[in-house]
Amino acid sequence: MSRGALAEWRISLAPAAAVAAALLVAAPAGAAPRSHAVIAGSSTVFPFAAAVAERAPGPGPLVLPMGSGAGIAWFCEGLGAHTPDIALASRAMTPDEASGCRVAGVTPLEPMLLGRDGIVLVAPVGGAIAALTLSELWRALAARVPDPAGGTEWVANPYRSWSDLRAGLPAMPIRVLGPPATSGTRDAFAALALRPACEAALLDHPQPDGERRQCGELRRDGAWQDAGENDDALVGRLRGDAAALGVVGFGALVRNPDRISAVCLDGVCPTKEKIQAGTYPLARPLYLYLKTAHRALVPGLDALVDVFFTPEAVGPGGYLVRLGLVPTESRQAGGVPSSHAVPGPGDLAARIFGIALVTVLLGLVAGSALVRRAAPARRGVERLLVGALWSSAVVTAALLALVLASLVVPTLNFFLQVSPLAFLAGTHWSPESAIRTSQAVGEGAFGVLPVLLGSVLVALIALALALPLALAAALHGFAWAGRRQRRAWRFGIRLAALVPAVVYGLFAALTVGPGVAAVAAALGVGASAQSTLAAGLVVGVMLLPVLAVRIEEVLAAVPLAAAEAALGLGATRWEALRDIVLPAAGPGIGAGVLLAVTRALGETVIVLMAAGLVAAWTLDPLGATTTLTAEIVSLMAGTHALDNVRTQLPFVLGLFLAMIVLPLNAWALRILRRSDVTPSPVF
Amino acid sequence: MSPLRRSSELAAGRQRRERAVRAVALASVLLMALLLALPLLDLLRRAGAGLEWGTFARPDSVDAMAAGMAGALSASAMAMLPVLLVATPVGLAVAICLEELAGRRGAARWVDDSIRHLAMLPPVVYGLLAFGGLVVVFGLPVGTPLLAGAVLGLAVLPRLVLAGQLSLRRVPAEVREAGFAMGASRLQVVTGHVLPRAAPAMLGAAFSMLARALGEAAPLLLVGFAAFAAGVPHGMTEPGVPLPVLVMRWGALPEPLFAAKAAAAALLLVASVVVLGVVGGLLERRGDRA
Amino acid sequence: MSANPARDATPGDDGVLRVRAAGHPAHPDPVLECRNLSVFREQDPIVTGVELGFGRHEVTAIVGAPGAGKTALLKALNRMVELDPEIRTVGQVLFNGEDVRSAGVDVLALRARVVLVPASPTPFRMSLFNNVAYGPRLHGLAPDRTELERRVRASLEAAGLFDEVRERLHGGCEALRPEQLHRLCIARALALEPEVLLFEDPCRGLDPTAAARLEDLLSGLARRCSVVLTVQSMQTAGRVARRIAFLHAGRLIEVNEADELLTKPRHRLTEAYVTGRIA
Repeated sequence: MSRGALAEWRISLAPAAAVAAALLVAAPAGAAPRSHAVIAGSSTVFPFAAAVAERAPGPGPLVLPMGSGAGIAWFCEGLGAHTPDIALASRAMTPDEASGCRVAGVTPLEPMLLGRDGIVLVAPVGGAIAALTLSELWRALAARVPDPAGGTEWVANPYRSWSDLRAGLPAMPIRVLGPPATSGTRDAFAALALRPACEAALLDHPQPDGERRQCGELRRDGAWQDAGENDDALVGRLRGDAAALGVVGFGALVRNPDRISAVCLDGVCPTKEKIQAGTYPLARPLYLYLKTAHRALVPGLDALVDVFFTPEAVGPGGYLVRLGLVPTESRQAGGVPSSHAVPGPGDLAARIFGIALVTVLLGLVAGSALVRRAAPARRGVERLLVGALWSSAVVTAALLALVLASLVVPTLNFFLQVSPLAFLAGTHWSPESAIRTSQAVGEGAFGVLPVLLGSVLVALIALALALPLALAAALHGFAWAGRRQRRAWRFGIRLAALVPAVVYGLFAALTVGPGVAAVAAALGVGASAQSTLAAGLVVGVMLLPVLAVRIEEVLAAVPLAAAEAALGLGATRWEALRDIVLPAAGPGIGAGVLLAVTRALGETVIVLMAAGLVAAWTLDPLGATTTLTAEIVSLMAGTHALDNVRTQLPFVLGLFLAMIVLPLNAWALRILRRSDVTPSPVF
Repeated sequence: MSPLRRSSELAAGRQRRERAVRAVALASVLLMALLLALPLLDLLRRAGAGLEWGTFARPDSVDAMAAGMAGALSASAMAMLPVLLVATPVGLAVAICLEELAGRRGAARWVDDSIRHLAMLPPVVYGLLAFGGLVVVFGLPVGTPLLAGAVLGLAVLPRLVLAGQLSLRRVPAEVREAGFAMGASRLQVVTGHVLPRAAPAMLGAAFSMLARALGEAAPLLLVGFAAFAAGVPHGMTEPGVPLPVLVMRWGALPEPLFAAKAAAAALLLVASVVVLGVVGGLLERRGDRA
Repeated sequence: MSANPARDATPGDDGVLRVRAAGHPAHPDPVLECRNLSVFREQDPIVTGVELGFGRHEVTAIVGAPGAGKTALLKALNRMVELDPEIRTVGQVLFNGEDVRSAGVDVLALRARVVLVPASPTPFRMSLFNNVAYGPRLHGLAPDRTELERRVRASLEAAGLFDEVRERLHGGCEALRPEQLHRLCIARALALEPEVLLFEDPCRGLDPTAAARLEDLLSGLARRCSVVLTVQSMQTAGRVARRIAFLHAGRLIEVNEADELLTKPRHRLTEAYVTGRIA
């Protein structure tokens, strides 16, 4: 075969071979049983499970902290390698969940009591509040309370400051960070702390039944803030905020003794002994749930489970105890292990191969049909080669269809249950609460405007920082810099544009956030270490090189002859810029700004690490905020069932985001095309 | 005084404005450089306690003293394999298709536009797609480099196509015309004339995309990588959390040693990305010079 | 003149050997004068040791092959060349006897008097009127509207464009033909009422008829000011200019009256260029 033909074969087959190889590798992966354990659930139990996992031999277990509720939901999806082997729970499975498990075939199930834990209310060390009664705590946090003015009806919680509750308490604004609705800790907190106090209050002031139903509900006006699953991360967030309290598991108190101290409740301060004895009012058990059938599926699962209960782990001074686990006397033995055959997703492999085959065939057909008639292929075999090449194109084009489909279908499902108007025009975003109460979701908690506002605010702050600097710097490189300087500059900003967002996010979380809070405190304004301003500023720094590159691309495309003519007439460089270059480049620069805006709107990591993730319909830059992207991640973390509203929500937000970003980008690209500028896709 | 020296008020003002604007522009350059260096310098300062051998050689742990990024390094490296071996050839092949073989009308134009739009989507959206497609439909194992590589490959694919197209466009038309003039078919012109010229630039683009994929965290968070993977993965189907996600996990923990280690990991990430980016840039420049 | 250029070398005041150009490079009453002018890009010389005078109300053409240094020399005359930070100028350029690079000289004022019209005619994205008015406005030469209008009209007339565009003075420049664009750029320069006009390859891109008309215009401009232009073709230079300076590889080879240089070149290189043996 001639050298040219050989080359043709090689490039034509390379992509097809690559795709086929990928699918070949992937298919068995999807079908084969795992060699490692997957543990998912409560983030309170997570540190203990992780500590055990570290010590396990072989490919380490994977531990996913997603909250008791989400973990149990995934656990109860069914049997098989795509579901977890062990569920961690900081509360017992509800009857609904248990029956759901049974229905999905997840039996037998072995519940195990891992140990005990207490829910503690913590403040940064040296905080002003040392003790509260449960009744005070409830009145501070409940959604509805008896009217302090003495009316007979209950009202939406009016208390703003701790001193409103009792004269002796400090005049700090009520701000409590706690776990979100997927968390077992939240469920237990509601059950152990809020509901009893609510019931007690109902005895004193009887109300219609509607109030009783809302007994465990937390207020949604910002005094209570969902602060993520991770207890230790929550402790980190308390660090920057002197006025805030947190609701965490006892383990977090043990692990962070010099950062937080506990608030004693009803006169009882949380200690290991009191939790073990049950005298601490918010003590609760921690569970592991194991799928018996998976004992045969995953090698080493048996041994792993046993490790949890070894003396090294839970004995006196054991590593789990040192992490804050309060051990119990015994563990409940679960059901008799049976050796049922595990249904592997074997048909999955067949599905994959089928899809691959169809795709390649489609590509061949499409390719042969789409090849330009103007340059007809010489040989039939050549058409085939081109068709093989085209199969890749079809695959990639199919991506768009897939993206849309995967976004559109859940969105349609969502809008069957929630009115689009409520979504687009509502100013109240608290999807967790609405789902928690399992009420009809017409509660008005799906208003996307606060989230959108957060995205816009962060983007605006970022642009305010980045645009003037990047524009001025780009103009300098264009008009005043020498050749060597310009080359160094261009190299430098392209390198800077490669820095991953995580790096900026870390900088924001560790330095900028606390810095902004410190400056605000010095100016007498309260601010927490996670704020819109901090996130916005760092996104701005990240945007600097991106914007500079875009502007530079536009300037490079401006024909210089007119500028030279102006210079020839005796204009200064600045005058030539002002009168000739900038008007010509104006639209292009605007397009570059648009592209930077969409980049800012799409930024996820920096916001997750520094913005506080609280949806607030406010323009306060010193407060926490959340963005569309951050909400997508928060809501998605740990959902696997595709049919409930909570899983649909991230997709709805994704489509919403795409609907904003795509037209803006299209507009920008259209403007740039007029000046023959193709923006580099690397950024 | 000669007419050349008679400096009117207006002329003096113009010169002043010119000097002022130039000074402001230069100050902006310096300020920008400072702001860009700031995060790196800050992390360098913080990374001190974390920069010891164990941090790079040990797997992750709940205990700050024992925690290390070995697992993450292995996971990230292995996750690059699907990107390099699947996404890159496919992406470049599509670029060749669209740029050289396809017409400018109809279906080809639609594919071209779609890919351009896909390339501009935020990477988070790819996480959503990956969840639906890769996890639920294809059943790729959660928390493994295989899934990570697939998600990242998906996220980077459209941009790769765009970058490939740009590289091909830089090859001047005369090269193609010369080929046609000798009676070569379209495919022969592409493989024999255009590709050899465009190859360095395309490789360079591939490296730049690899650098981008290495640093990407957002789409991974949506498919269950916000997790703890014990041990070091030795195979593509063993659990492993890529480096950027590890930085997020460590960065959120209150323990100062974790913050220091997070900074160390972030710096390593920057270094790797920069190396890949520089290699890519050099290759692209070599392509232009050829 | 001998065939060996080295034989014509004379030591200058500083002892450095310089080769004097053939013919009459000096001028009795020059409006612009180059004294041992050299232009370097970093270390590479572009123009070396040029001693040349440009006459008042005269058209002088600088002729040479591409890369000979014509543009650099032209741009050195009004200090445009130093806009590129890698360019170094050595030697003197005198404008009416005054060194244009001495301290205290306002370079903007220089460029208002010695105006450069670059090669490809590019209108500014403004109305025709504003294009021509740009220069006067920039330098504050027309304090009131009437003066501005006078200048614009006068320049357009001098450029031979006024009659064609009088109706659409305030419209855009898109509809102008290439020849009209050339004239517009000339009008733009004339609006400053300069003493010297510098043209970089003024007829590039024009068909022969239009080029001929433009050449007539250029010759005629000598009544108002002095004109220096660079051009590649010796024949064009002969049609338009009174004096021709031949530049080769950065060195001034010969300067003389146009007829004289074209019919009786004194240097072998000039002769080779005129007869087309070198391009």
